[in-house]
Amino acid sequence: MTETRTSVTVTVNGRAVEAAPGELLIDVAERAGTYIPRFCYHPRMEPVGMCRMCLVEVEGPRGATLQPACYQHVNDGMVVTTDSPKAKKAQEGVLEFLLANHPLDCPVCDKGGECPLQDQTLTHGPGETRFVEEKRHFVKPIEIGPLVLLDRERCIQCARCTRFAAEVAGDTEIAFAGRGDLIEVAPSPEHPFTSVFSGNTVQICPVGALTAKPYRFAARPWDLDQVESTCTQCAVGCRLAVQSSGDRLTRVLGVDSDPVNHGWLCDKGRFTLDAVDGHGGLSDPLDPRARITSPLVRRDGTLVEATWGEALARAAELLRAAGEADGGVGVIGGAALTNESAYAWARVAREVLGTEHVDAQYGDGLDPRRVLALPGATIDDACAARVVLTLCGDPREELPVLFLRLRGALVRPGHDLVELAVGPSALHPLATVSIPVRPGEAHRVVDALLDEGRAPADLALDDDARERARRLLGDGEGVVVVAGRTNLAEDPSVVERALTRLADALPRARFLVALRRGNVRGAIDAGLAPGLRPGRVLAAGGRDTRAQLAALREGVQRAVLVLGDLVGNVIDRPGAEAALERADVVVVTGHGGATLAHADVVLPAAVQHERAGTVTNLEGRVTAVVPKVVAPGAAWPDVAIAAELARALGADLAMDSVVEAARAYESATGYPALSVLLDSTSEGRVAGSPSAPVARRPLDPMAFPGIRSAEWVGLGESAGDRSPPPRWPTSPRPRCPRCPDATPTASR
Amino acid sequence: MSHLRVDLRQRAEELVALYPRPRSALLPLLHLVQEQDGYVSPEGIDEVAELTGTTSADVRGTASFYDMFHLEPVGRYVVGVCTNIACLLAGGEELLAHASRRLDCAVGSTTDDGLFTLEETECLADCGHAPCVTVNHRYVRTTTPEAFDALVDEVRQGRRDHEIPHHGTLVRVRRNGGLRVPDEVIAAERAAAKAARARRLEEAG
Amino acid sequence: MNRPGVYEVEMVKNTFRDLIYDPAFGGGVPGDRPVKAFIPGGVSAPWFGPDQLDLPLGQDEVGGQGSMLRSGSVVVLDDTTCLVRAAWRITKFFSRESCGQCTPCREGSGWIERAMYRLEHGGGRVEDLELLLDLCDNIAPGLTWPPQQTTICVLGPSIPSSVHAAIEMFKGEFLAHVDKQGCPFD
Ligand code: SF4
Ligand code: SF4
Ligand code: SF4
Ligand code: FES
Ligand code: FES
Repeated sequence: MTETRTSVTVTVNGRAVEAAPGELLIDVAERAGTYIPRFCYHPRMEPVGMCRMCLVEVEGPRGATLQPACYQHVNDGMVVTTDSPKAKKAQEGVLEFLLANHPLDCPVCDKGGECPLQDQTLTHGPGETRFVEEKRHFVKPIEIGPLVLLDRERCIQCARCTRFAAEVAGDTEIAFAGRGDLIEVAPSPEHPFTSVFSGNTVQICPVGALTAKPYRFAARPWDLDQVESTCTQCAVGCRLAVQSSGDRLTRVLGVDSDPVNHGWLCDKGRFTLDAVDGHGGLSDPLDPRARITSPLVRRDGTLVEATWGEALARAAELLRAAGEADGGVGVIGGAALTNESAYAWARVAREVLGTEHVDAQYGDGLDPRRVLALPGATIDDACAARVVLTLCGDPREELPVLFLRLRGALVRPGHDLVELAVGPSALHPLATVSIPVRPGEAHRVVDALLDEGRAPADLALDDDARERARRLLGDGEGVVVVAGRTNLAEDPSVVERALTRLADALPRARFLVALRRGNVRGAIDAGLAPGLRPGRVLAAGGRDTRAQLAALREGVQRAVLVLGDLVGNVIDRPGAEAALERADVVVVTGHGGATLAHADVVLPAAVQHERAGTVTNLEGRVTAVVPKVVAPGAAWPDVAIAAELARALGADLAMDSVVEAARAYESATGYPALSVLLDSTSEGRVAGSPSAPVARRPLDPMAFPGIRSAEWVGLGESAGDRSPPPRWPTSPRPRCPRCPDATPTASR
Repeated sequence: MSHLRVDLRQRAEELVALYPRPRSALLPLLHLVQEQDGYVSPEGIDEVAELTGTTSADVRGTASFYDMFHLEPVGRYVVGVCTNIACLLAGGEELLAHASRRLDCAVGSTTDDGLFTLEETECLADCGHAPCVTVNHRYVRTTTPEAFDALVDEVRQGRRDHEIPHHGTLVRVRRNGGLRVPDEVIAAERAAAKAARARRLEEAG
Repeated sequence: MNRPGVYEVEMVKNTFRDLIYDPAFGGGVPGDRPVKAFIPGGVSAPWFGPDQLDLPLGQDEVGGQGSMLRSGSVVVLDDTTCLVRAAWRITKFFSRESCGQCTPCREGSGWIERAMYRLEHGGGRVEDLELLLDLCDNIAPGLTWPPQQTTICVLGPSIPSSVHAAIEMFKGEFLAHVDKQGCPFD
C-alpha cells in the first residue's frame, strides 16, 4: 500500500517550510513570509508562468535552475532560493524588459500610486533606462466595451484579463491578438466587451492598461479611504471594499471572500455608485435615479417638503386611522434593507400597528414558509456537490457571481449539472442533462422525472434524458438543488410544488434557494414575511403582497407602509397603481420612483454605503454592511425612522442605535448580528450551520489594489522630466495602413 | 444564414467532425474562409466561432497570430519576398526593395489596383533558391530583378493563372477527400522530379 | 555557395569542410572568398569560425564545441558579409516569431533587434556591446552551452546565439560600426 503524504517539507532560503503536496511554490513561500514578485499569477486562476517575474532558483538533478515559482508545485525536499544573485538578476531583467516598451505615463495614469509595476520598479528596478530606442506605440486608450477602456501601450501582456474572460467568466469576449511584442488584448470589432463581469478585468489588471470609465481620473489612490462591506444589489452578498474621496464615493472593489465571491463582482454591484449619489443631484421624486433628501407630505395633491416632525406625525395619523379597522393596514417591501432595519419594521408592523400583513417580496419570489423550510445548502455546498440540479432563472442575469461560482465548479470533472431548463441560461452549455420545461409545468416534469413508468406524453420528455437525470440524482446524496422563481408570469406554486416533491423524493438533497432581491433572505428572517414572525416563527394568516394589493383595491385594507419602490418592481403594475390610488400610502425610501406618485407621506432613508448593519445572503450567511459616506440631506437610516415612527405612534422599540437593534434582533431570533456587526471584515456566519470561522486567505495585492501602497510609494519622480532620447535610427516596425501613426491592430 | 458557400460549409462541418473537440478545427476552417473571401473576413470569423463553439474574439486572436491569415482584404496576389539570413546573403533585401519600386507599393500594403500585396517574409524553406519569392504561397523561383519584372507582367496578363490561383485558394490535397489532381499529372510531376535529381547527381560526378 | 541545396550525408563521416567545398555538395564559396564564419545548424545555433571547418558532422562533435547540428541547415558567411547585419537579421526573425507569451523573449528579442539595427545603421555606442551581452544573459543566464533560460520555451535561448557569437568572434567589427557610425561594408 502506498502512503499518500499529507504534508511535505520545502526549504525556502534555508528555512524549512511545511506545505501540502502540490501546492504552488509562490503561495508556500508567501505563507512563510517570503514574497516573490509577480504579475501574471492570480490565486483564483490557473497559473500560466507567463510574465517570468517570479523566477527563483530551484535545486534539481542538474544543479539549480531558474523556475517560475507560480508554476512550480512543491514536492518533498525541494530546495529553493529566491534571493540569490542569479534569481535577483533574472527578476530584475524581467522587470527591465517589461519597462522597455512601457510608456512614461505614471503622472497621468489611473494606476499611479497603487501600481504593482511602479511599486516593483521603485523597490527592485533599475534607476535608469538602458532602452534608448523608440517605444512601441498604439493609439491611446480605446474603448473595448461600454465600461472598459484599454491603453495598449501600458499593457504588460500578463493575460490576467483574457484568462479571467475565458477561464472564470467563460465568455471570451477579449483575447490576445497578434504575435511577439505586438500582441494586444482585443475584442472582436463586431462584438465589444459587454460581459456583465467586465469590471473584474480592470481590478485584476496589474497596470493601468484597463480602466473603468466611471473611475477614470476620478481620484488618486492616496486620497482614498475605504471600508469593507457587502453588496446588496442581489442576494449573493459579495464582499467588497467601498472607497471614497472626501464624502464622494469613487470606487468599489471586490474582496476575496472564500465562501462567497472569491474576489469577483458583477458590473451591477461594482458600478452602481451613481445610484447612491442620485446621478448628480436629480430631484424629480418620480425618477428612480433621484435621491429623496427631505421628508415629503402631500398637501392639496402635491408632495411638498416637510420637517421630520410633521411627516412622522402625518404618517402616524394615517396608519393609526387605518389600523383601527381589522386588517386595515399592512407593510410591503423591505428586501433592500439591513437585517436590523427589517427587524425594526417587522416590530413596528406587528407590535405597533398590530398587523400580520407584511411581505418583503413584491410577488416575484416564492413562499418562504415552504422553500426556506427545505434543508439548506451553502454556495460552497453547491460547488462541492456531485450533482447540481437547477430550477431557476438564468443565474448569470439574476445572481451573477453565483453563476461564476457554479460555473467554476461545473467545469471541473466530478460535477454534473442537471438542468430543468425553463429558458435560456448561461449554465446551459455545462449541463450534463438538460430537460426542457414549459411554463407552468415544472411540477409535472419533476413528477415525471422521479416517477417510474412512462412520462405523460404531452410533456414530450426525452426518455433517455429522464433516465440519465434519474440515475444522476439517485437518492439525493451529494445533490444540491438551486431553486428560484423561474417565470414571473407563472404562479409561484408551480415551483413550490416541484421543490416539495424533490425534497420528498430525494431525502438527502439540499436546497440553495435563490430568492434574488438584495437582502430578501434577511428581511424574511427578520420577520418581513406573511405568516413568519422574526426568527421564522410560524404565525397564522397574513396577506402577501398580491393579497394586500387586492385588499387595497377592494377597500378592505385602507393603508400601506411601503419600504422601497413598489410600483417600479411589482409584476402587475396597473394593479398596484390602482390599489395605491385608493389607499393611504406612507413610503420609506432613499430613491424616487413611480410609487411616490401615490404617496401621502415620504420618509427619506439612507441607502447602501450610507448605513451600518448586517445582511443575510441567499445561503443564510450574515455579513456586515458599513457606511462610507453620510446620507444626503435629511435622510435617516431605517432603524431610526422605524424607532421614531413607533414613537409617534406611542410605542418605544428601545432601538435607538443600530447596535441596540442588532442586540435585540440577535437575542429575539438567535441569528448572528451583533458579533458580525462588530467584526465587519469577517467572512460572516451562516446561522445554524456549524461552520468554523474561515481563515481569510492572504489577499493578492494585485487582485486587490488597495490604498495600502500609497503609504510608501509616491509618483515616479523622474518619470515626467526625462530628456527626450537621442534620435536613433529606428528599426522599422510593421505599420497599420489605416492608422499610420499606430502599430497595427492584430494583422501584420 | 451561413456565410460560407454551401460546399465550404459542408466541408467545414466535416472538418469539425474529424476532431474530438470542435475547437481543434479552427485553423483549417480559417483557411476555408480565406479560400472563399480571399481574407479572413469578420463574417467568416463569426461563422468559425459558431462552428467551433468558441467566440469571435478567440477566433480573431488565433487568426491574427499567423502570417498566412489576413484579417484585412489583400490583393488578388500576395507576393512574399524572403529576407531571412540565406536570402539576405543572396540579395533578398535588394529584391524586396526592387519589388516595392516595381509594384509601386510599400512593403505590407496593396497596389492601388488591388492586384498585388507585397510582404516581407521569414524563411520560406527554399533557401536553396535564395532569394526566395512566393506568390499566393506558390514558389515561383524568381531570384533576379529582371525575373521578378517578368513574373509581374505574366501575372498581370493572367498567364500564370494555371499555377497561381487567387489568394486564399487551398492546396489540392484534402484529408479524406484525397487528391483533387488527375493521376497522370502527378505521375508526370514525379517523373520530372526524379529526372532532375538524377541530372544533379550526374553533374556532381 | 556555388551549389546551394539539400544534401544527404552520413553522420560523423563527413566534415563541414566536405559539405562546403566538395563538388558533390556545396562546391565552394562563390568567388573563392574565404569563410569568415558559418552557422552549423539553423539560426538558433551559435556560430563557428574557419578553425572549426574540420569538425565532423555529428551531434556530439558539434555539441562538444558549444553549438548544435539540429536542423542541419548550414549557412556560410564569407568575408564580404557584415556580421552585425547578419546577426541583426537573425534576431529580427526571432523577434517576429516570438509568440509573445513570456516577457524575456517577447521584449528581449525586440530590444536586441532594435539595438542591433541601430548599431548597423549608425547609432552604435561602445556600451552597446555590454548592453547586448547583458540582455542576452537575461534571456539565457550565464550564456552557457547548453543554454539555460528565463523563458518558457527554447525559442528564448535561441535569440542570443547569433548576437553573442558575433560579439565574441567579431568584436572589432562591432567597434568599427561604432567608429564609423555606420556599416563599414556599405
Ligand atoms: S502607474 Fe503603473 S501602469 Fe501606469 S504608467 Fe506608471 S508604471 Fe505604467
Ligand atoms: S490589459 Fe492588463 S490584465 Fe490584460 S494582459 Fe494587459 S496588463 Fe494584463
Ligand atoms: S453578484 Fe450580486 S452581490 Fe455580487 S456584486 Fe453582483 S449584484 Fe452584488
Ligand atoms: S510567471 Fe510567475 S507570476 Fe508571472
Ligand atoms: S532564408 Fe529565405 S527561404 Fe530560407
